[in-house]
Amino acid sequence: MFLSISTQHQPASDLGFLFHKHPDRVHKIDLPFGKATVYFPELSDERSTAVLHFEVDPIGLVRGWGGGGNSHGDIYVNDRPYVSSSLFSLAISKAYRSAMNGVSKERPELAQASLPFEVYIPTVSSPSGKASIIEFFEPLGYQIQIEESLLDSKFPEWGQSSYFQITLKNTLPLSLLLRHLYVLLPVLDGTKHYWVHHDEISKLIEKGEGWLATHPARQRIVNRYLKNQKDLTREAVSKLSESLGELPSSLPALTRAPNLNEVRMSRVAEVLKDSHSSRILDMGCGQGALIKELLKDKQFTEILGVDVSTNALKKAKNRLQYEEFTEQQKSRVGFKQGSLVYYDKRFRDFDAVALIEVIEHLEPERLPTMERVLFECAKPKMIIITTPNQTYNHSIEALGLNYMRHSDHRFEWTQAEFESWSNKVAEKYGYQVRFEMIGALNDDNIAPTQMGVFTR
Amino acid sequence: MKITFPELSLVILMGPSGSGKSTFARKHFLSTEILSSDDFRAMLSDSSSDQSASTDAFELVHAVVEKRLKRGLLTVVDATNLKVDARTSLKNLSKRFHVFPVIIAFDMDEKICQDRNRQRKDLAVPEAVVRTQSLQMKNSLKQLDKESFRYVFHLRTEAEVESTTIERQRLWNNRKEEKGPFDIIGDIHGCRLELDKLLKKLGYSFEETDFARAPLGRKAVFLGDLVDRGPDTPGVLRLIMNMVEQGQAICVPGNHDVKLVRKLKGKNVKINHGLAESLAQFEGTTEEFKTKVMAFVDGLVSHHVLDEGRLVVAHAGLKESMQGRGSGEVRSFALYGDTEGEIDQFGLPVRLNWAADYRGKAMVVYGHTPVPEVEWFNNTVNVDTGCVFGGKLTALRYPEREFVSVVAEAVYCEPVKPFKAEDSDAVSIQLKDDAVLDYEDFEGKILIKTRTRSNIYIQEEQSSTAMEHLSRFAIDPRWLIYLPPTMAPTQASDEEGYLEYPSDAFTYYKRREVKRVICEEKHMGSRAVIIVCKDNAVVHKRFGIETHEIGICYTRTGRRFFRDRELETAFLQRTQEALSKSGFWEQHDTDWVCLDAELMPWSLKAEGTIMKQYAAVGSSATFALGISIESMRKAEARGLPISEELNHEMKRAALVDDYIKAYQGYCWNVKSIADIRCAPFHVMATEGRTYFDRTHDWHLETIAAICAADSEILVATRFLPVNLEDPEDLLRAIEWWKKITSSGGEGMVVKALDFATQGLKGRIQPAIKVRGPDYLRIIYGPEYSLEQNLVRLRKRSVELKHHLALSEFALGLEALERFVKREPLRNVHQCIVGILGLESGSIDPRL
Repeated sequence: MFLSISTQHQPASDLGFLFHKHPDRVHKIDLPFGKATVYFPELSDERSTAVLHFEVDPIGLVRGWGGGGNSHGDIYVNDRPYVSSSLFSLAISKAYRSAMNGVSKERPELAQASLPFEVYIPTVSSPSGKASIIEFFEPLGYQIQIEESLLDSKFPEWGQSSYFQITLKNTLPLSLLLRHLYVLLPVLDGTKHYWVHHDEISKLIEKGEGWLATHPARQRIVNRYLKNQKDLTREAVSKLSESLGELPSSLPALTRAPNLNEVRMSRVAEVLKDSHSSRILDMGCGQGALIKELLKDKQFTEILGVDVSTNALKKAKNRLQYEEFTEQQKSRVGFKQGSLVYYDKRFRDFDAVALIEVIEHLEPERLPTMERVLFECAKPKMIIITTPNQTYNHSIEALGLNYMRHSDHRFEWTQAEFESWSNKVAEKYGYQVRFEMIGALNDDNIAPTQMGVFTR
Repeated sequence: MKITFPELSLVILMGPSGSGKSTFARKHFLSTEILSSDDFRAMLSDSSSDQSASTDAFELVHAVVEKRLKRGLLTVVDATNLKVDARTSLKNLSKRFHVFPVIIAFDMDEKICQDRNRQRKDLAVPEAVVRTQSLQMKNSLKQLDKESFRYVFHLRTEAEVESTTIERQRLWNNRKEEKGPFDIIGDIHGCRLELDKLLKKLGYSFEETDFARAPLGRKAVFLGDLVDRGPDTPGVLRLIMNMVEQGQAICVPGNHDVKLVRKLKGKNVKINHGLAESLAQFEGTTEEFKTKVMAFVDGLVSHHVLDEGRLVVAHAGLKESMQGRGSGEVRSFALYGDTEGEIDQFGLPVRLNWAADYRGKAMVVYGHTPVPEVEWFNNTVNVDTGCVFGGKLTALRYPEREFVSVVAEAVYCEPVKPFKAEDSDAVSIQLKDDAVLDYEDFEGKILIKTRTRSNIYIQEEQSSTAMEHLSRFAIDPRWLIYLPPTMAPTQASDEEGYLEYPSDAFTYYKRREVKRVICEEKHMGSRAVIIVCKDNAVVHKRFGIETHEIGICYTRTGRRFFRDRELETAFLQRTQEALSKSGFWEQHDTDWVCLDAELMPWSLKAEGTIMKQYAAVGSSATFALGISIESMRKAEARGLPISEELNHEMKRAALVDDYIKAYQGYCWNVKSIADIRCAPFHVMATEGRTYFDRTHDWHLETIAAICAADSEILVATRFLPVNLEDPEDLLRAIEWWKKITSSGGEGMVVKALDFATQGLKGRIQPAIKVRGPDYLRIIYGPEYSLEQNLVRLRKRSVELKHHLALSEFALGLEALERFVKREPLRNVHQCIVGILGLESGSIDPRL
């Protein structure tokens, strides 16, 4: 990892004083995760440069502390030794401690003064792209130059890498510059080499003093810095607001419009209610959104949530605070691991089975098996299936052409495709089926979700 | 007095406190067989006389009774059992598990009971209670007749109790000590001609017209329905009765046999389903013969458990829970099958398919319902091939599992319901049933018995992870007949500059007394299992899958290998053509094959990972180090003492270059099938057999012959046999490895030459990989080979990986063996779940 900071402030040779480092020596600093070196490759009255070089111990990355970045799980090689990240912030704060605190024994007034600086980093990690770099640095007054590079020049078709060569120019106190880097480099990278907990808030407030509270991308910076932990970000943002004398950030409007998922769940619950079903099997219950809806109505006396992922079941239980249920409540709702492509006696004897946004997660070649499990083994009076309507996709801005709404979707059906499959299945297994659209219609009168209600 | 009851009974002791039940029980039964209410009360209250614990105690007693009876264990309930309810609930339990209920009543004089009670120090029962109990006893005894217990024994005096002996009578159906071999013959229905022919074909010698002697050591087993419909019912009976009498045969009754005898006894039965023919044929027989037939059929036992419990024979089959049990229900099932009174369009009872749910260990052989062809289904087989309807008379040779048939001479009777298959291409019942597997069979902790590595336990969280993966990502389970095991690397090497080195692999095998190994070039691509059929029809017939494909190619975790289905089809076709061209189908007498292979380029499957991880690291490192070197040079030019850092940085940059070259070598663009390379290295299985008994050089030579038929995409694997006792051979192998790895190769795999010895010796790794120094950069990072890094990396432990590799290898082999032996798919799938489950654990992925 490499960071150079240059200045043309006259005399530029004062840069050594600013960093509290003798410019003619090579400074070595041992850090927990590697070795930092500070040296001055150019030093003159016209222009001086300080370089912070940090060599991460690559074996330490594997042994013990993980290291964040792309080193999770079964991943082998790691970019951490070569790119900007939270590790680098740590190196900055250790190697340039006094500069960051705005202290300079020999040139105290210079440490506080706004000086022209040029920062150069060869490999800034920004998985969300160039735009984020601009979004975060530009409002702070930086002139930004960004260069992209190919992932591999032998394979140009692999495209650009998500590491950027950046040059930042600004006139500001050195300490503020360093604090910007300290906060924004890991925010751009998006991962942390350590577990973020409550202490991080004060660190962020301290390093963000004087600039973060008024930053237009404040919320996003805080979210990313605190790794999207809602409790932490709420606290941090309200502290930042206070520092500006603002009122505590307003709560989200109570009357916000329900999102598509909520619309979908309440419609499914309505259909189930109208059918007088009381024993409901929620196949692929995920994190329990439908179950939450069904629990509101006493008509549903027995609810079983089944998902193939034990992790999803755990989350569903957490979200519903299942462990705090009374015995009686618990007897109303249960969770089981199960699969749509295996026969299962436990699926029998329900009034209705709901598959809400589930079938599109199955490989198309496994659908015939799922059909048998559902229509032959479970065989309830009513089956509700919802799935994305592919025809609607062009109305979703964030979605590029030919992309599906979720990376795990194996297919997304047009209305015609879904209806033809449903009719075929209904006929084969002796069901009637009717269709319904769910969600706000687009200009072509297409809804985002389609639902088939099978009855026998 | 001698008390005799069946070996599998629920013995209910009855009598007041102090009547001597417990003493009697201790004398005649194992302590584990006795469930005493006192003991259970004590367990729940720390006092055996605490009546407040009684309800709970009896609940427990019942629960234990239930489990013991389910497991087929004689059980004694030692409690007063003086109330009707107490006895009835026990009787119902015995009925549920088809076990005989036995009452032993201790009808002692009240004085004796009172005396005994007074002597008890620990739990004297009040006098009044004992008095009441004695009165209850009198009432109970009067009532007992109405309660219809199968066995009731009445003990009246101390002397009688003292002198009583108990005999546990063997169940009539238990003939476990008879191990065969057997020839098990289906429904004959008076077809004497065909029976004679079949017996002769099986090697039986007719010493008289009506007596055939079995070949040495063998025995015939007749599955009942000897009579009705056919031309010579008396003839069939004569022959079989003689054979049974002379110990040449065993016979179980069929519903027709029982009905005929009832008619002979003068009972009022409906004359239908071929009974009329039998009666007409009996007209000419003697009264003596009729009496003999009646006695014979009456004496037949509903079913038999043979060969240490490995074989069960019954006319209409038998569920596991009824095997070796005796009750009216068991008999009815054995005679009439699993019916619930529903009638089908032909007016015949609808048979519930007990065989579909059958999970028992014993093979069940039965008849009763004619089928066009015999078919194994969940370890059961129906051998009634409808001889009397113009089909065949069939015998199953046990334990050989061979079928021997003779074709009927005539259609003696028109079947009410056509029993011949309309579509002779239809897949077997087993394959039909296997189309959807049952979750229950793979849930929770699974014990898999393998033929090579004893028992392998798959923990609940492992099977659960595997089921998630299989449900979300895997191909149709019917294709998943094998998954390749993980492969262990060598111990870390002490050789300077190396993390892995061939000597350690050689040492590993040498220490385990392996003399000959084979070194195989390790291709760097992605592991693939390839199943190719001779034509599309085979896919349906053998695998039960309806598709246009001629096979499949899947990854080591059971996902479809190719995202591009057209490319997959092209690849399978090319492989199929090469197999055909090389004469593989004929040479191995098969119409399908399963190959274990490496598919290249690596980027074909792993492009995403390579881009996101490998190229990302390469490009960032190159750039960062380039800038750093430039800057250090400037500093050096300015006179700073930085040369050491600069040299180090340059060294790092060179390693990154090596790293990039390493991964780039395994990547190329695939525009068409011509860009794919496939290197198969094991022939896993073909119809009816696996190839674990062949040496590795056989595998590689056989595969080389296939590869020669399409040298554009099929790559033969280079190999070098090594004699571990020859030092020169070892040096040669090391040089060979260095040559491969220095020219971009991943490394090599060292295997004991014999595939099969692994199994026999148990714990020897099937293969050990020795990866090259440059390849390891893409595993351990570009800079792993710097000495300060190597020192630490050498402290790796391969124990767990070795253990996993062995278990997964055993499971893979087991899956294939089960598949080629046509076991139910769930047995195969269990092994697959096992392998994926084992792989779900957290283990250093770099090993």
